[in-house]
Amino acid sequence: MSRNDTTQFGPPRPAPAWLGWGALLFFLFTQVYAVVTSPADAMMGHLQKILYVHVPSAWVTFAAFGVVLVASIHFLWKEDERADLLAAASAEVGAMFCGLTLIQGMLWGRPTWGVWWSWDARLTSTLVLFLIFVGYLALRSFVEDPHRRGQWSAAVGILGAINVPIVWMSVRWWRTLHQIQSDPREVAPVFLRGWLLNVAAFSLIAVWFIWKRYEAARYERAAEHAAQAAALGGNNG
Amino acid sequence: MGSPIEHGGIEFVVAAYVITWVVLGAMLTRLIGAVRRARTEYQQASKGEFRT
Repeated sequence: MSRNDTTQFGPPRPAPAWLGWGALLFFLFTQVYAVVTSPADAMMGHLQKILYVHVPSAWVTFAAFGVVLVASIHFLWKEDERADLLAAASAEVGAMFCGLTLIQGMLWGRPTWGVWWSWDARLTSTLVLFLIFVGYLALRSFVEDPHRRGQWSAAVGILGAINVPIVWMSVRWWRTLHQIQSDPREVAPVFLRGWLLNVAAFSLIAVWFIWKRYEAARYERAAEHAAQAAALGGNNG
Repeated sequence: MGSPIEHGGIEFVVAAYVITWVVLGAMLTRLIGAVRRARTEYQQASKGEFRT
């Protein structure tokens, strides 16, 4: 029996209500603020407003998969199941934002590049990243043993997260269709404010979502432990 | 005549925002439901009302 099989933990600390309401209200404010205050861009027109959801979604994707990397390494090292549950929660939220990034990118690409999709280095590497984490989530649903599930998904999670710097650098390594990252120092303040505010709002939303997903996973595991304890108590009694 | 971007981009902007809000709203609903279900399951298991 592995150490993890005997891991016992109680119910989680619930995500505070102020975090949820704060994230939601801040998100609504930043969305309206960015759309209302930013003028049409000289080159892109109003299409630049897509960047207020596209760039924050991409940033949150990278950050969530960074959490998967750290939590997966921690799980493999310490065999702490809580780290595995945190990695899974981050992977789920990260995969959702990665899917959103792809869809928003397609909606930006159609009117600017003339195509919904191109096998460009950035788009392709992002799609690969998305598919790796969809595979990660599928793997978790197939494996029942918590310890084996944790080990296998940690390996996939680490491999997937290694893809993040490749996605980031892809626009510099392979100069294809997608433009390179904008330097915030060269972006006009009227555009930059909305951009940064939305990055902060999306980050808060992601923290809240990951916390809620982790909370659900902890309750599920605590229920399993309580049921096992009750069954053992019943057998002994 | 302006560029096609100036005149034909608004629907793509609206679609990007609507899809973002719908996906985030669906995820939030799913997460709140998952927490409620799991918490009820835990409370029942703690009282020995676990399902086999």
